[in-house]
Amino acid sequence: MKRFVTSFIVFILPFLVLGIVAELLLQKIPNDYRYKSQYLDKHAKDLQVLVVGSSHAAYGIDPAYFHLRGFNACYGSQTYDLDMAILKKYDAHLDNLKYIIVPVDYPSLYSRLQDGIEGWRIKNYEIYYGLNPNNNFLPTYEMLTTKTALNLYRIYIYYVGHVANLTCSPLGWGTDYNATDHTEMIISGRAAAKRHTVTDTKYLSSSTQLLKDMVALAAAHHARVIFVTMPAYNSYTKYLDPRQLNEMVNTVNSIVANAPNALYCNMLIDSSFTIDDFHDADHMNRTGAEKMSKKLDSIITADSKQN
Amino acid sequence: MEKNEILKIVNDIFVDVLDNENIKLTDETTASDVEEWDSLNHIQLVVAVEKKFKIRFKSDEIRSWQNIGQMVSSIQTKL
Amino acid sequence: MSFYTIPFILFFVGFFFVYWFVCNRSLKLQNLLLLAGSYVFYAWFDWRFLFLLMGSTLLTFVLGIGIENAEATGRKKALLATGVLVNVAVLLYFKYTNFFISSFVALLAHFNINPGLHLLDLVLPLGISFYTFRLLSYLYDVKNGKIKPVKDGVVFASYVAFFPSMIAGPIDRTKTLVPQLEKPRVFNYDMASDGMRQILWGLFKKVVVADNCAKIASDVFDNPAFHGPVLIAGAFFFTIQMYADFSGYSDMAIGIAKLLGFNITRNFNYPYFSQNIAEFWRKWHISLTTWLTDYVFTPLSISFRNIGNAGLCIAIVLTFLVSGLWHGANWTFVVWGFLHGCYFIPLILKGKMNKKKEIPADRYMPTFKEFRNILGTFLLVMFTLVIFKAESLAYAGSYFHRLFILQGASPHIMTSKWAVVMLFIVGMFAIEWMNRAKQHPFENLQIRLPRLGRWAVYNAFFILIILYTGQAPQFIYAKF
Repeated sequence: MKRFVTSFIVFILPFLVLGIVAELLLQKIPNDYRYKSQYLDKHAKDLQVLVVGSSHAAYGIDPAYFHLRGFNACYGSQTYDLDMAILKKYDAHLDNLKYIIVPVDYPSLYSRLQDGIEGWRIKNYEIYYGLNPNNNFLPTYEMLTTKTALNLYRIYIYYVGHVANLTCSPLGWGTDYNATDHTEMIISGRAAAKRHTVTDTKYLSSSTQLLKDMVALAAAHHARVIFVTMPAYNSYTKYLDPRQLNEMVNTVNSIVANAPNALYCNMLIDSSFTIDDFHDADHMNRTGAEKMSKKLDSIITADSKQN
Repeated sequence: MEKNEILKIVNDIFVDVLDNENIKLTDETTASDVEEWDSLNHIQLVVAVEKKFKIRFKSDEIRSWQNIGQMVSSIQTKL
Repeated sequence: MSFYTIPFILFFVGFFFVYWFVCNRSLKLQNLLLLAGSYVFYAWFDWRFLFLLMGSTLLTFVLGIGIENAEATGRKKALLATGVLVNVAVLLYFKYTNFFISSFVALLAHFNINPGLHLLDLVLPLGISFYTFRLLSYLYDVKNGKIKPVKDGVVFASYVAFFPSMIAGPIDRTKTLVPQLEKPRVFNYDMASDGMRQILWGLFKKVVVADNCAKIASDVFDNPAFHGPVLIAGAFFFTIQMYADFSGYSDMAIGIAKLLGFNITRNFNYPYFSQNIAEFWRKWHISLTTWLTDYVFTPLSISFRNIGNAGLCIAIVLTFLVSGLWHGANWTFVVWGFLHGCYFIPLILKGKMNKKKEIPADRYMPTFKEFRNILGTFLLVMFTLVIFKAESLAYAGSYFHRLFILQGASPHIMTSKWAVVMLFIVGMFAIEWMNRAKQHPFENLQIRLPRLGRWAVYNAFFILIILYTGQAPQFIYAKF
């Protein structure tokens, strides 16, 4: 028995050591999740505007254009359950919070990250934000979730290839959507609209509740919530199902009607955004983000004068 | 008929059905001792035995045999 | 807990230590721990169905003793019937109710009758197909006098719930496992290291071969627009996946059992080297085949023996229909089973069913004729596996139809990944071919290779396994 256990330990030890080293290397690679989580750890108490949401807002809202001090805590495919978990994590520290900006877009009310093809990203929230949305009782590690070959490749391209991995600005706005080819953008609209059109509305009521919870959380800080539907190009909007769109608009309107500290801005119908403002049919580029953020800033300024 | 006579006839049947001249059955022989004897041809052996001795076994009887010796005893009771 | 997940590894490491270091003092303690561990393992999946498992175990245990104590054959038969009826009814209920309902509704729809029946919201209890067959074999064997009923409840319950083989078999008979449970297990270095080697091989097949084949097969099967030769490739990868996955899992189960001091039934004997369908079924899912042979085929063939070959044909087709249904509640499985039963008919009629013409273990290469037979058998199996994998008969039909559509652009789905997977497949078969006389290719490696060579092999395979464990994100977007 002793021989068996010793042989096994001798065999497995190098792998364990290498695994731990790989894990440390992986977690040190700069990534947006880690950056945003660490920024919030340090600066949550100073923030006046916090933006949560998925890729539409990640690329469309740049807090650099706000007069108030803001941060963009969005990420691609980040759904309301994760937005709420992030808000709850920093709730006690948001001493100076004045506004929470929450995008409500065509697919937002109906999705959850874990159900979709991007569900693997949940491990990033577990590792880098310290959240536990699935109530795991074992901690999460890169080496134990992602395919090892892929992890080794990631280590290689960062440490040897020096390929940058961070894709957000210091205030959290997404920096890597800068396509200039408009044809591709137009073609992508229809497929995206199709992808975002749902038949299963099982998350509608829980999403509505999450939005109300965000309103309540803001209210506890005497802060206000701005629900915004992000702009999109008509190669996307013309394929949207009117029923789903109406349901989205009606849901937000009903929440705002019952919440004195909430307002709704539907930018989907704003005609001042042109083809040059978009990276693809439903995501903004640098120019569009600047435009959008300045618009939001003036809305915030006007609103704070009244309230 | 004596048991060893029955055993000889059964042995001949096995050699014929399983196509193997080297089969030498004893009372203790079981299916695991004879390479070609498995469940897929077990029934053919039973049918051949029934035909040869002009007897008929009951299903329970067939299932109860643990070795050749028990099969031979069953045959003997029917002759 | 699937075997190669962290929760199971943690569970098993803890279990292993308590089993060998604490409970080795007494047999009772060893068995109690084994039973407790098996029930914890079972409850991990769904604690509610643990009660079902315990209930079925208790009922069968009591009936087994009752059958032996009963004097009259009639009473024995009645107790057997009760046990069989209850266990089968439970299995039918959980596994087949919705199948019956939807088939019934579909049938009535042909006559434009709509009874408005709804499917039940049923979850399939873990391992129910496997443990029910263990219970049934026990009852039959006791009634037929093949074994004595087990008097020790812990031993019996451990036999039924034995965790290494709960998820996917092998289906052990009482006389294989119970005698081992009734004796204390003493740690044996050779057995434990053999178990580890078998687990390594099983993991290789499952993680490196099967999971990679699965990805390719799914990509092909899931796209209803694909046509032409790529569909043959899809069927091929699925056929390999089925073998590598199932036999890999069996190897892991057997290896884990060896680590605990148990020798359980072999389940695979390199079936894709078979030269005809009878040989194939002697080597594929062996524990199920022998179960069906002993408890379905033999009684049927005995009953039909007066109509000669026709009787055998009917018996084999019926047996494989049962096998098909056992695999799943869908007409695809029924048709799959039916086809395999039919495959036997030429062999039965030609009297070749029992002829074992296996290639001698020391032969380096098969002859041309042997290779032709092997390929033919493989193709027969591959054909039926398309039906097995399809979600409906209609989809299977569409798959075959599209296979013959040769015009139009060929879908660009083949990547360099296919070449790598083919390399693994060829490697797996080459290793298995050269070691086909052994229980598993790494058996007796300690005799065949010096320590350095062995450890090189272990490390090479372990590295391959680790490289492929874990999820690969579907969309990368060059963002991690």
